Amino acid sequence: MNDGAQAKLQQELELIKRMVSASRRVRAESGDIYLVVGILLFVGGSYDWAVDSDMSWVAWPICGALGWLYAAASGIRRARRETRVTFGPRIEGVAWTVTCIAIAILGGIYVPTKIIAVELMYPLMGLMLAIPLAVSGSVYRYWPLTAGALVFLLVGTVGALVPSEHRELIFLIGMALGYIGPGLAMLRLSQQQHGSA
Amino acid sequence: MGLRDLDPLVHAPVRLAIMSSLVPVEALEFTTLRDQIGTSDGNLATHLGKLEKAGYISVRKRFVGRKPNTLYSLTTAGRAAFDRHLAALEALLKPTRGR
Repeated sequence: MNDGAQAKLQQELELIKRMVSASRRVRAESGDIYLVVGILLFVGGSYDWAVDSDMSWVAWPICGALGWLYAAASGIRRARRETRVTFGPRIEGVAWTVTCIAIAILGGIYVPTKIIAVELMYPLMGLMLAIPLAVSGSVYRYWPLTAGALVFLLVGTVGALVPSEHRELIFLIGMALGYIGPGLAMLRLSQQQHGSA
Repeated sequence: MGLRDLDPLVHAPVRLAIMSSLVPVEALEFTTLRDQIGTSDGNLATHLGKLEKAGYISVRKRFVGRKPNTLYSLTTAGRAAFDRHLAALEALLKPTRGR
């Protein structure tokens, strides 16, 4: 094969790489979900932490359910108008759905039946949330989400070592850093992408 | 492996760009594909038609609001053809790498 043919084949390979990379480009569209769900849970958790009455824990499942409704509605609306259907949102959706179900089972069955103490919910939730955040960070190759996963691993670790009365506060700090933080970063990226589109 | 191992249907630049764009995703909309490749509507439609006829891509039509919208995906045969083409391309380029 002559050098001209080789150069043409090399260009072909470059074209493949360029197109694959363009299709993989992160479209940071779900920042609002992280932000809204994060703020709702942060508000619910802060209420429970500040009020600390027998029934204040109800703020957690109420805010969690509202957040889930927003995430589901926003996800469906986005899927309908998506011009680039990628495997990422499906993998991300399954990871988050299973995690939310697992957390609901822990809170709805394990805590009331006293298999685990309610204070253990916070470090356990931290460890569980680290998994879908790491999945999302990996799927989109987006470091703030991966950093969020590390924050929640830290929440899970520190939460197991500190006295039980500090666990909720540590979880709330984790929520602000590991969930609302990446949500804000994604929103900013999304605005930049739309601005440059 | 030789030049004859390159799939002539995949080898054409626009069709190669279409298939490469579809590899990492489930589906792409016509306008996204057009903007990404940087070609005209007519040229893209012609090449998409050839790939569809060969069974390399599938077409799904839907409505976004009231506007019709067409999504294109690689079929299993298309993915296999792309993999074969890429393997042939890499094998042909291998002896020259590091020269």
